[in-house]
Amino acid sequence: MGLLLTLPAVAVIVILIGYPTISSIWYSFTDRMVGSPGRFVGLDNYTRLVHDSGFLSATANLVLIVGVSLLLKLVLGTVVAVILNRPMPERNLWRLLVMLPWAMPGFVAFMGLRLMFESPYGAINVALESFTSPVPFLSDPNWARVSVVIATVWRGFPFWAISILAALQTIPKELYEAARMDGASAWQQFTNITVPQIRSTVAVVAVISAIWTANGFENIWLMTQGGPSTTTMTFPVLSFLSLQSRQLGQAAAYAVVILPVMALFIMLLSRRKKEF
Amino acid sequence: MRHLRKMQAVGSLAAIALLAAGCSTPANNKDAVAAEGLGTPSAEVAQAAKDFKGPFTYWIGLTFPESSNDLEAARIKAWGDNLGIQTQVVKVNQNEVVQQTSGAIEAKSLPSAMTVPYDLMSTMGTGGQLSPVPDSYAAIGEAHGGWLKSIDSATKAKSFGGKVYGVPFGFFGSVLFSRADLLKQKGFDAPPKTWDELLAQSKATQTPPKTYGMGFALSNVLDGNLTTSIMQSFGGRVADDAGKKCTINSPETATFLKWIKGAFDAGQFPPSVVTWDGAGDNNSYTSGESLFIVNTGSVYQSMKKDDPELAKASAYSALPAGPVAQVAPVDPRYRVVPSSTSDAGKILAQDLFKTLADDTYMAGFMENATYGPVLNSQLKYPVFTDSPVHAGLLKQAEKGTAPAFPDTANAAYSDYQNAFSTPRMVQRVVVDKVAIDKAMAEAQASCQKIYDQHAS
Repeated sequence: MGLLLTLPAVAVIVILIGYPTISSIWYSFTDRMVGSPGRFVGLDNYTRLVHDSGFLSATANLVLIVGVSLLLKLVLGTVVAVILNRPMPERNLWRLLVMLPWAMPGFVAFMGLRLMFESPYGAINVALESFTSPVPFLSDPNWARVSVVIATVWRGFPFWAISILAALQTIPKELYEAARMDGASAWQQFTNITVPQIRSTVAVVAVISAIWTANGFENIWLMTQGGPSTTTMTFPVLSFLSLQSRQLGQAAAYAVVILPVMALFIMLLSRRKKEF
Repeated sequence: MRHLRKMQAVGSLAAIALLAAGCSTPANNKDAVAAEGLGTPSAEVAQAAKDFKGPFTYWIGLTFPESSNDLEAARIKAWGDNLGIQTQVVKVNQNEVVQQTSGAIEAKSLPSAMTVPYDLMSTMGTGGQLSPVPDSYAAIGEAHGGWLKSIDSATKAKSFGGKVYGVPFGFFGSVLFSRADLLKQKGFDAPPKTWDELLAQSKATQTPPKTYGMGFALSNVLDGNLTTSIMQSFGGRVADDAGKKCTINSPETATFLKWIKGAFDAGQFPPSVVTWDGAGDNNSYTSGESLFIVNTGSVYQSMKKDDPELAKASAYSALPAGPVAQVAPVDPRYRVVPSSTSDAGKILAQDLFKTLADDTYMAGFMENATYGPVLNSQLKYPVFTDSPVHAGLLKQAEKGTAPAFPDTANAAYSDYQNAFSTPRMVQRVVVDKVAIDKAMAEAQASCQKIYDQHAS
């Protein structure tokens, strides 16, 4: 009877997750194109990746763009959460405003940022006009990475801030009062009370955010299309570009090759959840 | 006080009346054009309308300005109302039509009929996803003075094996926009005839970082595929005449890459061209940043409305020639019927194509949209003499090159273009600074993979 009751949930998982995932893995071993079944080609789609400059860039960006974005979101999110946790006038309004970047549609957010970063007539360059010649925010390989990271952090940090803020509010005030009575400085209170109390939340948020950022498409596509050349290339964009020429097998290979990294993130997340 | 309120009320009423008048006149005109020539349907069509189940869905490729899309949608609705069937028009961004159609093919949810670019018709037709429409093609041609030669040969390309997969209704051409006012100041009275002339004019006239000469996208967008035409004009080829073996890796391609790298390194391109989106060239030209752009004509439509002075200060000419040839591809747009459409739907779709080819309607449609003519009857539309861009398209209809020329138009070539292969090769050279030989070898490998997949 118990097994029978789990059947609907199992069916949903099989249909919505199992079938697409297994299909993608299977496609990645074929030369399937849109509208044609394709043939089994073994590891061809994967061996090609070794010589693919886009793949090498995407791998590097998995560390660079995702790693740096996470770090900055952590710092910014924590700082904003700590500030918003303090008594201040119109605190609820500030909390609402902080959520705006995360709440607005990604398309609007990244198109807006793209327009701001444009060179030479984007808003940022116009503002910097008196100090410097136009900065090629999106066309210079190094600046393009920086711009994409800034945009990704700007859009993503509110999620961190609000999650950390929620964790901060669960810390009993008595802990801080006791620490103050023992003569602990503000920094000591932060490192010995706040950090241990929010660590689990930060870990979960970090894993979720890493998965979102690594799978993020609109931030890259709307800002740089993975360019200039392959400088800001990521796996979702590579997959999309293959779909553009209707190569389902190759597109699936780009999507599948990132699965072990995602699986690692998910394992970390599951472990953290068990700790709660 | 009461008097003031009365005046305010009268003013408000007057404003509403004015607004209503302003809105209703074009709407009535649109409705009149949309309903033009809708008569009693033939017995076969009337029966198909009775047998047809569900709404008749039609995907139209969005074009600029929106009024032309609205007119097309109104025409389709009027046709459906006349037959007593429900219609559903879906506007699809032309930059996304490949992805949307690919998704629909896989999900088996293609519309009853749709408009597609030549490339997509080619891949869908040879992939068995389109129903051939030779009779409609012949009938519409006959009713409108015949098809233009370049369009007819593109529609009956060898790679289609004698089948006609779609009914063309207009073509996108590539028009060179140049800032005639600024070029004249430097003594250039006529638009450049060759790419080298264009480079020379650009070098002499641009004043970076305020203005740059060559506003041509080198990014992963459809506009970036202009680089394929330039490469072909330098003698480079995507594939051999059989359309099976890639021939990117060639001395001619190397010459083209050297030329474009030279121009890029000399600062002739706005630096942001390597990440431009589909509107990059439009924005660059209308903001005064670029002296030259290549565009289908949508920029002219927006300038005509928003910046008539710039429209007047610009010259519109054919694409320049390279050292080997002048490549100015005509890119016809087609109305097609997916093979998944029911038999009754196929009859209705072909009736709709005839309805949409009506000259009074098409003259109104082309007045706004920047399509070139495909039928002899369209040559007489006033827009092709009144508008300089349309006049350029008219010339291109006569002198332009066939799609893919000098390459062979087939599904593999379309997918090569859809993957932005040439602009990506150019980016490897100008951004990543890899050796030309290496960039060509990489492009050759990815191109051959695409061609091999189509051969298997």
